[in-house]
Amino acid sequence: MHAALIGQLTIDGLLVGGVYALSALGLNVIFGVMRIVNLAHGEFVIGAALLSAVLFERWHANLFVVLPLAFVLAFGLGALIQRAFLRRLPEDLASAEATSLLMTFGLSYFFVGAWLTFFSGNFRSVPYLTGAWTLGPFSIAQARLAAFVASGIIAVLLALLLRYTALGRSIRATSQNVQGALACGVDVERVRTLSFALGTAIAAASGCLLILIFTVNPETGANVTLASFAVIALGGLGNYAGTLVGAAVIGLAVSFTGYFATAQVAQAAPYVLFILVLLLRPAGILGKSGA
Amino acid sequence: MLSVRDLNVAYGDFIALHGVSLDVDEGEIVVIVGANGAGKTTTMNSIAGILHVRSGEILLDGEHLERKSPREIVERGLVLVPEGRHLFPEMTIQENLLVGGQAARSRRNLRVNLAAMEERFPILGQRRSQAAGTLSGGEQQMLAIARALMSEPRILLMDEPSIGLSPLLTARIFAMVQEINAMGITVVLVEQNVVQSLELATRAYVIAEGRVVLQGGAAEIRGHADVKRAYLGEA
Ligand SMILES: Nc1ncnc2c1ncn2[C@@H]1O[C@H](COP(=O)(O)OP(=O)(O)O)[C@@H](O)[C@H]1O
Ligand SMILES: [Mg+2]
Repeated sequence: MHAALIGQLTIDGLLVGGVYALSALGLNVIFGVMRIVNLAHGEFVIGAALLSAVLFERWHANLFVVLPLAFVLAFGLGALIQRAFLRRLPEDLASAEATSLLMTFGLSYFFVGAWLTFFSGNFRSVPYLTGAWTLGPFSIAQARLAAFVASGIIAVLLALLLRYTALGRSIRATSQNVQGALACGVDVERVRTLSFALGTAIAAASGCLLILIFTVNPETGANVTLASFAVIALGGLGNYAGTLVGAAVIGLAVSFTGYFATAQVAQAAPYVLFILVLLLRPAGILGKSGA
Repeated sequence: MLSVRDLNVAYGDFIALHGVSLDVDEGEIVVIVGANGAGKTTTMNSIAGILHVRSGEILLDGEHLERKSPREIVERGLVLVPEGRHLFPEMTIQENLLVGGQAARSRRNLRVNLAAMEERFPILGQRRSQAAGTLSGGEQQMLAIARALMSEPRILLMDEPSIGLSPLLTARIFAMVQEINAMGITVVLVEQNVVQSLELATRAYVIAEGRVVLQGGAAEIRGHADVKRAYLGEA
């Protein structure tokens, strides 16, 4: 195989990986605080992607307008869903887990239906930043680079929020020890609402960037949910640094299989990796084995 | 100051507290002793609002707490150092303290209180950027206490602060309890070290199977035949 081709596919894969990382970070915030496996995550990603496609078709709306708008809308929607449904989960952890799976599974179906109604079943993309830069033997698609850079900026902002603000400390404290957070007078209910809202908003942001690269319709949300879970499984649940590694691996897997096999196989690649990791390294690539 | 009346608390169908009542006056050190599983932690967590109270009253300066959230209770100056510490292990020592001081009542003094804690507990200052989980057991207990003090409590509930610590560290914790009390903070202390804790207490309660079975002045409890037999290994 040609070295230049390998390089090109690596570049493409890593750039897409940035967007996967962002989506997975949103999922990780939600899981960390609420111990909820959010099966509706991909629907928020795809909802925002389709919204930005429609706004682009109608008004040529710019990414810098659409992304903050989708972020704010999704934040509100996430807060609403947490207050209306997830807050009512049972107290004890085991039954909360089962109920939350059913709840978010139901929400996922609801939103697929809602998006089909709003956006129809058509596949859409955003023909924005369609050019490419040439760098020696490689070509760097502007859309991919923009999506990667924007994902990076949002991820850094998230990291700063978690590390240096009172809200960020409350989020991490609640993730690490709920009893301790309660003893400190942290408003755990408020932290849960804001975390779910934040995770949902990050999902929406990643959707606005994903559609710069891929073509989607309302039914592709499940793929995004699974790819995000694959990233987290690879990186280790709750491990933010691991998430980046996991995202790079998934991005590369999609990029290489997309070239050497059919698109269908490329779609399946994240799940195959997901299953392999669960079998071989349940704590993630970087995780302590057996942990 | 704190008055608990006829408290009933259950875990599902299992009733853990059958009408516990106790009183704490301002400036006191009140000790609660009792065998494992007697209901001491259940009592403390109920007062702090972490457990749902089935019936009974908890009054702080005449105000009802039994339906208030843990946050509202902290804001009123009643703070718990929980059994088992419940630190945030992957956050730094400084971050643990900052979370402790985040309550509205103490937020404006956050930096001042942080500096005061680092001075009072030098080890916490020296290791401020280290993850809390890397501290030894005794240091973790210091951090749990310092974290609670960050919210400027008027009344501090401490649930077995000396558990798992060496006699030397236990003595240090007891000295600290007295220092905290000398700062004007009322203390409710749950302890396994019955003799030592009765030495610094004003009054004591003995709890067995979810009921208060004995109460009185510390010296009186110390001299009581049942306590001698059950906890002090004396005939
Ligand atoms: N989360 C729980 N679920 C069910 N039972 C519990 C729980 N916590 C404590 N208990 C029971 O309640 C009783 C009192 O426990 P606890 O208050 O922890 O006692 P102590 O602190 O005096 O050792 C014990 O019988 C214990 O088994
Ligand atoms: Mg206990």
